[in-house]
Amino acid sequence: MSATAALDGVSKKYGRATAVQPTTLELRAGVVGLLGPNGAGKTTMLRLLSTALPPTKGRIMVTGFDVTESHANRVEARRRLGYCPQEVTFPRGMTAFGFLDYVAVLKEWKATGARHAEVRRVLDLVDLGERATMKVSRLSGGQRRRLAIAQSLLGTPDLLILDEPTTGLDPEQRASLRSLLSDLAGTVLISTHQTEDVSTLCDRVLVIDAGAIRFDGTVPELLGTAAGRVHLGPTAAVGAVQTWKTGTGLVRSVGGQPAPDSCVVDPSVEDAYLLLRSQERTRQGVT
Amino acid sequence: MSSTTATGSTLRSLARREIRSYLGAKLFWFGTALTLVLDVVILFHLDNDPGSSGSYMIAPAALLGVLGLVVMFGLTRRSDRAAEAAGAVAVSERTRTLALASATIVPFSVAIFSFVVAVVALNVHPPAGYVVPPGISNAYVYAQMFGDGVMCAVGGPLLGLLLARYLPKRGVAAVASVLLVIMTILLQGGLVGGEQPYRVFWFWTYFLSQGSQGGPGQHHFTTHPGNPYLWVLYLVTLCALGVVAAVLHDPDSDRASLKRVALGLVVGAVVLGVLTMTVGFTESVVSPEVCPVC
Repeated sequence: MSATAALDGVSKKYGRATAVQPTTLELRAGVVGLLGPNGAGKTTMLRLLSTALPPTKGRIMVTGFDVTESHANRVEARRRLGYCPQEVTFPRGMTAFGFLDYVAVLKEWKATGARHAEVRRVLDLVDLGERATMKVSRLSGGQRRRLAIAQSLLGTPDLLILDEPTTGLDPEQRASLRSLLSDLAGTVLISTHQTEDVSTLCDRVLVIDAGAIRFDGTVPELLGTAAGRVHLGPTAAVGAVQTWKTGTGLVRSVGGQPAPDSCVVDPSVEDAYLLLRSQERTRQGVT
Repeated sequence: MSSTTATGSTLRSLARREIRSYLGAKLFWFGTALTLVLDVVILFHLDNDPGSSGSYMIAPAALLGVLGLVVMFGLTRRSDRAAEAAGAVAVSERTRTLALASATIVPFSVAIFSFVVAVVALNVHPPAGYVVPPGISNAYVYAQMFGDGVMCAVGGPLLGLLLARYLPKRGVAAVASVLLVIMTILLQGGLVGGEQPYRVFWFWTYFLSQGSQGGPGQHHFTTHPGNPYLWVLYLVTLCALGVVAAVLHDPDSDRASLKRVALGLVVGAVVLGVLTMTVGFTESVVSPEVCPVC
């Protein structure tokens, strides 16, 4: 199975600041989660893959086209990808349908009938079919987020890139979005802070920190890195990365030396992520 | 793979869309309604205004051109926001710019109608006391009216497009339209004098007006320096330059070629501007006939 997208020695600098360190990576069919703290380089990585941003160095292949080579290749790649940015400022005065119809024209849907049918399809996918004629300014935050996602779904792209798509969605909407994404056939790359999304949806997890990929594997493999390192006991573990009192009154400790009478519990993706972050901070000499 | 239907051109689809958006702008309809009301007033000679023929075209220039600047600025920002919301789209900024520029067909059409009305009105019932100064044909008057009315109705929106490309900030269109009006008023006599030859480098000017050169109550029709035929060509060149400069903003455009075209248009505009000043009347000619009702 060939890669839908690939980074080959790609780095990105803004002036002297390095946003993405030299990275080599391949993305294939399936849902890939990109986890990382704020400022880790997630959005830059997604913008590089979406062709919205040129790399400082390296080569990027998207749906078989070297997007760093020519504008024509970027256009070909853009025809085959969908991208939902983290923050979207919607045009004024447009209805939900009008906005998607305009974006569909920008995505080269020329025949009016087919375009309108496609717009209605993606509106239904994100449960906004009944809000089609409503002005975007009158939609709630969650509805606007779904509208932003809807535009990225136009044309059923081979590569779908979503930057924190579940932000602002209620649990029901998040579950609905997960269901939608899991049904897609192509490659889906999601940047998120919601570890729950990763554990329930993603076939593969990338953890990025300080512009570099620190972990690349499946969810079970990520969980494996935290196996035996999460405890539940009457008191906190010594030197734990994070501790908190649970609803049962017991203290859950991630990492560290477990207190007597503690028991090992199954780690969550969040536990594994916290441990990875801790290792990275130690490596960087941050206390 | 996107199931894009490959019929027709993207530019054509987008241009149709932008034309519809322009037609949907309330400010455009406000300007159009007022322009058409003034056309009716002129056509049926309801105001009995003995003023210059140039004044007939203030309505399309201000109500379609200046307001068009605001309309087009808004449409361009809207298009940019939609493109930004989609992250990266196949259609280039260049294509979007050309589609937006093609939407000027809307104010152009209304302005042409207004121009035809003004021409008919001028022939059916010319201003009272109107005396054609020596060497002036009707075509001379029509050229001024076309430049002041039709070209400004197109040039205003194109200026809005250009501003949205290079100064996409809130309030820029409003400030620009106010400055445009102030500068135009000042250049009609307040700042440099309405008879200075170099006033023709501005987007709006009079070549034929009436004033009180003979003292209070002694109004005469006056021909100002310059050549309105060449001035229309100068304005056409400026409009073309505006479109090229707006397209040039696209980082993915062929900037080297566009810069050459832009340079050629700048040279052409300067040459036409100088020719407008120097070919034709070089100084004001005041008609000896006193306008009895001005």
